[in-house]
Amino acid sequence: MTAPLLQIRNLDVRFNAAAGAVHVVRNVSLQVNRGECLAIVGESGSGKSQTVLAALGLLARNGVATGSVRFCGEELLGRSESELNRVRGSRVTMVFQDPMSALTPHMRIGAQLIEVLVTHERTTRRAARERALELLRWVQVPEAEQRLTQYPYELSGGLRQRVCIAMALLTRPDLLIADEPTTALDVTIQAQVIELLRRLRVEHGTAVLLITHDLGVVAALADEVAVMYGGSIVEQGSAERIFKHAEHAYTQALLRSVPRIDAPADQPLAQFTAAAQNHE
Amino acid sequence: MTESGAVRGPWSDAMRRLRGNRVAIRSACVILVLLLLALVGPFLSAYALDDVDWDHFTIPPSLSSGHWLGTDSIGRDLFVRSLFGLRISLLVAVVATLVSLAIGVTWGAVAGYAGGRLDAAMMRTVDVLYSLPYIFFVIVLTVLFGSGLYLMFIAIGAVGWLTMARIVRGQTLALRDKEFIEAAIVAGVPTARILVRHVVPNVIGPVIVYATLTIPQVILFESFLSFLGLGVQEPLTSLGKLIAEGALEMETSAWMLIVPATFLVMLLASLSLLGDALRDAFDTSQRRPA
Amino acid sequence: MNSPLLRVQNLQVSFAVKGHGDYRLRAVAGVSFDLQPGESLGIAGESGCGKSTLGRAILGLTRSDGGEIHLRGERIDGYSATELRRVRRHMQIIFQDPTSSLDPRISVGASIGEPLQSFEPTVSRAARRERILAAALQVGLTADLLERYPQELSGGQCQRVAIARAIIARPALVVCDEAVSALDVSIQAQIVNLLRNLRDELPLSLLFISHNLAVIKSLCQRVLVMYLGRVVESASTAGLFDNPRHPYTRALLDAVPVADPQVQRLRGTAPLAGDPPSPIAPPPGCVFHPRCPHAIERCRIEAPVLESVANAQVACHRWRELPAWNGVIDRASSQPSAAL
Repeated sequence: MTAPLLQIRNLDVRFNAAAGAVHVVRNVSLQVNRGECLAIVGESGSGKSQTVLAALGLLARNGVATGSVRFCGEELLGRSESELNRVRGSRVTMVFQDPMSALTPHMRIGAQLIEVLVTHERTTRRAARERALELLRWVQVPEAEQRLTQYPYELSGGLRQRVCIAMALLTRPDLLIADEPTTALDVTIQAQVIELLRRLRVEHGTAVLLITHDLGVVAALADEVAVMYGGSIVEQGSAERIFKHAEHAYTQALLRSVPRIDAPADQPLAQFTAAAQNHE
Repeated sequence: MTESGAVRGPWSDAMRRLRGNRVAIRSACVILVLLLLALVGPFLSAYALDDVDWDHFTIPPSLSSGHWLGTDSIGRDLFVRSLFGLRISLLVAVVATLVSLAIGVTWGAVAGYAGGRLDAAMMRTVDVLYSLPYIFFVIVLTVLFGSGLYLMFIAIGAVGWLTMARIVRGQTLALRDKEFIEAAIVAGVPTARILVRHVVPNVIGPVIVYATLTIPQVILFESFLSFLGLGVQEPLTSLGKLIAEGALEMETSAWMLIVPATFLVMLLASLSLLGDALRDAFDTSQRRPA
Repeated sequence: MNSPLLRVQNLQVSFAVKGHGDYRLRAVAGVSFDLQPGESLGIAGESGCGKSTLGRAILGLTRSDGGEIHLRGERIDGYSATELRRVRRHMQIIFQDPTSSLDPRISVGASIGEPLQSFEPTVSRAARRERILAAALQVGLTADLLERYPQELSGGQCQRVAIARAIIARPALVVCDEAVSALDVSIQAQIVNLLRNLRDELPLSLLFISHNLAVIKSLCQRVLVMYLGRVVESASTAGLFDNPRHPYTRALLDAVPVADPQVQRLRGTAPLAGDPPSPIAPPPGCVFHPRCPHAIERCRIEAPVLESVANAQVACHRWRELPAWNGVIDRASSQPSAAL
């Protein structure tokens, strides 16, 4: 059995706030294997984003992470910025929820893409440009050559997100982390992005760590699922098992209360009982 | 994620933040001390504002003579005169700021909320008035009405409201598209009530901060006018006048300059620091606690 | 048929576009529908389709420049602010973002009571307090929360406050503008159920604007699908989801992922290509034709009109010729003929 690509063990994250320490991630252990898609599902405040940010050393200054995060066997937690930068952006890349804030507004798309390659690989600008074009075409951005000269604000939300995905794939990463990649997008554009991520795994074998609250997106993409609530993982397993035979009350309640388009029309949604929900 | 009791209303939240800021506390203390001195101080001294001490012309500060901070060139006690000057400076600052607040907030809120042509007309008026040189305006007023304390209130207030109006208008514009304003419109609240109940309380934060930060400017402006001879007249005095007189005697009797200048600097510095702290306190109170 | 609570006929809303001279952007380009008392109508569509603008125009928050709006038999389009204030007693709104729809400087109890002060000014303070309490309890809030400020409450609680405020003066119609889109899934279910209960108990008509088709299916009895300011299809909810006639509706339904991996695997459709067009430069003819897998020459030239069929309407030249839709799963995949 091959070693897992990303292995998080006993991760704990606390923030030192004015009112005292806030414990946002509690003893989280999970792993992503090569070529696999793991989805971390949770609602707001579940700690899913903080888990991943901590793993990559991207926590806010008052955050403290303990535990172990290994990428290809190498421990990441506690490493210096320069050591992390060898991994971040080249072997592990990230796509965020809001493409507008992930792209630099005053730089042309082409310049931003080329900058990534020039920073991480020894490559000429011409080769970098070719690779950027290749990826823009792969993510199906129409008129790729023209897009290189455009600024982010000139593109629609869906195109911007696709550009961000292209940017994340420039260095042929082993692992792509996507934090709520479709939440801010329209339904039909979301379907395109889901299709892109699926093709990524099928055609290139890139592993994907997907963070989302949308169970539909999870069902469409994930092999493995980890459900988080209140900073801990309440349930993990294969997507098949979780959706079919969820064991934890929270997972069951979540699956039941999700509105579905294949459900009968004009029917009440299942609600969390008072006991299962001290979330509010 | 209820913050049970940890956060109360936005005002108490800001006050709490302010109380935690040491610089703010110290500045506020200094201002309070100066205020107390200005109000009570003159009674502590044996001398009155315009008492002339024939025996002690132009003497430096000395405890033995009873003139703790010295006297000026015609024997008037500097301690008392400086504190009176402080009184006048503070009075002018507060009244003038209140005048500009009253006019500026109303003007800016109405212009910002109304938008369109009314907004354009009102703000072009502000722009035009803004471009008039203050000094000429004040000189004209002085010529027409004579100089004095009340003129100071009017002159400075009449000029200070312009920037206040711009600030309030900007804040109101930002606020106008917020959903709770639209919710109030849909809830049938008439425009005047929306302005009073929803707009003004939500812009008052930056306004207070700005006001605190402009009081130093107002004091300086008044000092400047007094320095030029356009401000308060004898026997009243202000820090500006004292500094003007002191500047003339700077080489021989330095204390005549240093004493009022020190009071002025202390006042201005603490006000600026307090204003900064206020702005920080109000800014973060808008954000929802994580 | 009773006269409808709300009748919208050929509504037009357009905006001037900065930098484009006289050009006007048509956000709503001729929308018509009826809403009966106690009915919930869903307005579905993606960004730029004009659904939010439609809701705001009905409430008078945005000025319409064509067509008619009739509320309780009274024509209200073109009303002045004063006249609108009177009519708004019967229609209220719930916004998308719960916290920014509440004044942060005012306690939530006071916010809830605000419509009462406008629409029922003769109510005494004591009576008003009772009504506020009653409204709060009706939406599932507890009395102790009334003294709090919006920043102290969670998103779900704030949205309940907004709902309480919307219903306290007993309006006939409430427009919900993406009212649950900013809420967590678990809270969403509660709020949707709350809205359903209010619809049935008060009763209340709901104009439910949302991009989330699953929520619309759960709450609404009829649905309008909008694309670029126009209605492309309208039907009963069951009818629309079982048998969507317009290609865009089908594409929308195909695009929504279902929370079941087995079902997902069986759905083999390629997603709709292209981006939602900008309303500034709408395509000629049928506005959907650049992305439509079934577009023909006629679609490029001639805009389809809304035809009535059974209990539904559809605006498509070819709807009769399209293959039958097999449902959410077991969908025969069709390759889009339009180039990317």
